[in-house]
Amino acid sequence: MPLPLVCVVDDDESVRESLPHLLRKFGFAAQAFSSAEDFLASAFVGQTRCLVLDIAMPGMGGPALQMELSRRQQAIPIVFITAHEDDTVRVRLISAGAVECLFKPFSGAALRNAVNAALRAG
Amino acid sequence: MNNEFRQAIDTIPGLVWSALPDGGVDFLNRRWCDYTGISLDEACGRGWLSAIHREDAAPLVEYWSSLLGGREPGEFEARLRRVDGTFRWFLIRAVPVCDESGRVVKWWGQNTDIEDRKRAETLLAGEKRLLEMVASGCELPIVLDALCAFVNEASSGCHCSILLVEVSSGTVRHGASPTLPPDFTRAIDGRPAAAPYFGPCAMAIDQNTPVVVSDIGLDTRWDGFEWSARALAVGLRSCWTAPILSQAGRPLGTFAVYQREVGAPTPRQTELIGQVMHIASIAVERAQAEERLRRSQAHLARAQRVSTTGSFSYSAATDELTLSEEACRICGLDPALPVPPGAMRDRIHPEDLPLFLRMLGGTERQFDFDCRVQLEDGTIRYVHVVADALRDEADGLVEWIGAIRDVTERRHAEEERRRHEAILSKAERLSLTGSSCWRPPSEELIWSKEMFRIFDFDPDMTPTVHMVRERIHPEDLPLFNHTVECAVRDGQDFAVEPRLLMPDGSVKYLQVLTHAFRDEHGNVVEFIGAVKDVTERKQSENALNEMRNELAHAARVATVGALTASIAHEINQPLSGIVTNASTSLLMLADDPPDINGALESAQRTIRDANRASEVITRLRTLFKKTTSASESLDLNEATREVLALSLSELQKAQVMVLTELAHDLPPVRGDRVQLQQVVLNLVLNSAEAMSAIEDRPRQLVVRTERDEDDHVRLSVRDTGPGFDPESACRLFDTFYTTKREGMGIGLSISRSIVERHQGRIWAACNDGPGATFGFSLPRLPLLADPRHVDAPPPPGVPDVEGVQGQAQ
Repeated sequence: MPLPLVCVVDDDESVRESLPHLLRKFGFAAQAFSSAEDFLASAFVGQTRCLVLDIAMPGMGGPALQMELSRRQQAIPIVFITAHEDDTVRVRLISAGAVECLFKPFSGAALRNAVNAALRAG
Repeated sequence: MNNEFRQAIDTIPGLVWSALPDGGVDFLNRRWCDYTGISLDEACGRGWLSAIHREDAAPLVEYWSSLLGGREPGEFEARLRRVDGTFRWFLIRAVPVCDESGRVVKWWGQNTDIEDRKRAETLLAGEKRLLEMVASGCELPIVLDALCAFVNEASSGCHCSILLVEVSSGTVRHGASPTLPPDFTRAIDGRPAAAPYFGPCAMAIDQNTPVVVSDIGLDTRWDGFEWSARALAVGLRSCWTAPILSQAGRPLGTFAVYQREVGAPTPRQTELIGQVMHIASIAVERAQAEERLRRSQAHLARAQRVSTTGSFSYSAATDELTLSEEACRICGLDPALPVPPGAMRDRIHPEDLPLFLRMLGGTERQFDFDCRVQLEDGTIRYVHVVADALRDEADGLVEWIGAIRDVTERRHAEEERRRHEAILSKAERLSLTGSSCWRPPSEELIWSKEMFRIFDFDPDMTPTVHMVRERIHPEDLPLFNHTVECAVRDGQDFAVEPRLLMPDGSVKYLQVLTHAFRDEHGNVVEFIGAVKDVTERKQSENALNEMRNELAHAARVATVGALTASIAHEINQPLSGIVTNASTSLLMLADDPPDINGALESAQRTIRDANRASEVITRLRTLFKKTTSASESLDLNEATREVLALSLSELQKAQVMVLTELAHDLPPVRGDRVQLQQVVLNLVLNSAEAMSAIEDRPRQLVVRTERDEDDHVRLSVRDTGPGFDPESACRLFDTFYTTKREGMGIGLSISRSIVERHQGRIWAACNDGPGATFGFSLPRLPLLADPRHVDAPPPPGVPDVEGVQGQAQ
């Protein structure tokens, strides 16, 4: 059985470079994309078991991607990450179906818990 | 009559005759017959009458008849024809011979030649008539015509012409020539006087000597001008001309006699001409003197009119006032009418009249005062009167002679000048501005009152350059001296802002602006300048600067609040990387066996992210640092990129799309980097905020830099917000003016003060489409002033947002 694929979509290079390594250490397969559009255009959408998604990005933002996936009926559990610490946003996103919303910087444990929760939800 | 007696009478050199009591001539001596060429037989009876001039015959016969009725001797003047046909004047005397009873038995007569006396008499009468003409002020052309006619008459066969020298033009003018063909005489009119080749008259003037041309046909002296040919063409054969001389011996013109026969003047003609020339000289000189007098009177009248000065005389004995034309005009009297008695007294202003009357009747020798003259229409004229008393031997007043001058305009101008001076003085006092005039050649210095106050010198002192230098602050003196020296050398305007060190130790700040006035060689004649005491302004400026810095800092701190989220975002990004990498690294080291290489990579990424975080902090520190103004050469593009990098996430959050159009060849400007970035940030945040309520169109922000005219660099921020009311455009940059509920209204006003301190201009404009554009322009740094900054690359760590668009969702 292949490792569950976790995709990271973030315009920030630091996140794109660091997060896949950590996810792999947690025992997941990981892919990083610098924009929502790149992700949608990729061949990984169907295999993705969890999406770690930045909220604010140039072009299509995280919530927009979430809506687009739901429109495509691609029910991928989503863990939002954001550098803006804003609880109202977190509450809104979670109530809209997101598994979790993490504020940068988040701990490795918090990430693992969130991804695991997503995989369980999926 | 016996023969012996007859022979005796015949031998008498005079003309002797006898007549019978009835008047019939019975004897004429041989001399008579020889003289008239009439034989005795023919002449006897009434035959002698044929020798009498036709004009004289009838009167003579009448007189002779009247004489025959009595016994008295008689005499009669008549012209007798000589055998050669010429008439000469004779005095014909007749004496009766009576018998014892007293009855006339015979008349004896003698004719005496009185031609010379008669001629002299005629000449004398002619001269007298001419002189009378001259004396009675007869016009010169008429007198000259009469002169010519007189000579023509006295010497038959002569044709006279008179030419006059016109001194002002140096030419000859036709004077008179009643009997010569006009074409001939007018040919010389207007020719140069000193041109002997034009003809004998011109030669006579030029050489100041008579010229005789006894045969025009043989004389070749004027062939060049064809004078001889023209004279011959009108039938003239000889010409004698002589200069008419003034009393000083200067030629006034010529008197010329022409004849239709060849010949030189006879002595009699020479004498005649000489006499006539004398009269001509008097006539011409008198006419010239009259002309001079007339002109000098005209000049005087004109001079009086121009100088608004009239003359007057007042006779004490007759109480009579005589006014010149201009004096009449000044007093509002008609110069054409006689001055009515008391006219002056009626017109002098009642308040000035007593003084005037005291002067007129007093014992002064001179008077000199101003009085007012009231004209009929009520106008008041100011008149300056000066007069001199003429006194007799007993020191009694005979006459006042004086001048009056209309000084109304001067008085008005003086009043106006006084008023202006008062206003100016007040204005100087109010504006703390003194004026000064400095004439470097003479070192003369003229100061207005305010100058003395500014320099704190006694207004009675005469200011000197030395005094000025003594007051100038020692630190500012070298620059002041250098500036002034250069200005004097180059003849240029100058401006300096020296400080004064006052005796009490206080310091004054001055602003000096001068304009140089140069002579035609470019040398400075004088500097006229304004000196403004700007001490208070300087002090408040300093205080204001401090306040402004405080305020700018406060504003920056205020923006910190707005940017907190942004800052957190900027820092959280690398922090997130750090935590993630550190976690990864720890996990890799915990593996068995540990993944050393993977841990090392992760640790390196950790360091890199930490560096990124540190750069963000550095940028923030420069932006929010409280700092005083520091001027440097800077690239506005680079500064703008930094600001946009910091605010990008804020803009994304506000869902604002940022487009940058930064000119590639933007010249550097000089200024305070932090302050100018503050301005850019203010403009960007303002625009973003303005668009917060816009939902029906993209929230788009265009940040553009470009070269502006007049060597300026401009930056503009264009939004698609609601724009602003054009009427409030001028108030947008006022402190505490705000259209935003939460705004403090200090952002734009601080931006304006920053830009203006950089000699720039800030502005706001409504777009053609939706929204507004805010911008500023700054003077560019002169080319090559600091080449390091022309193509400076963006500093490391600052993302290049050029052409990138950021959008948040």
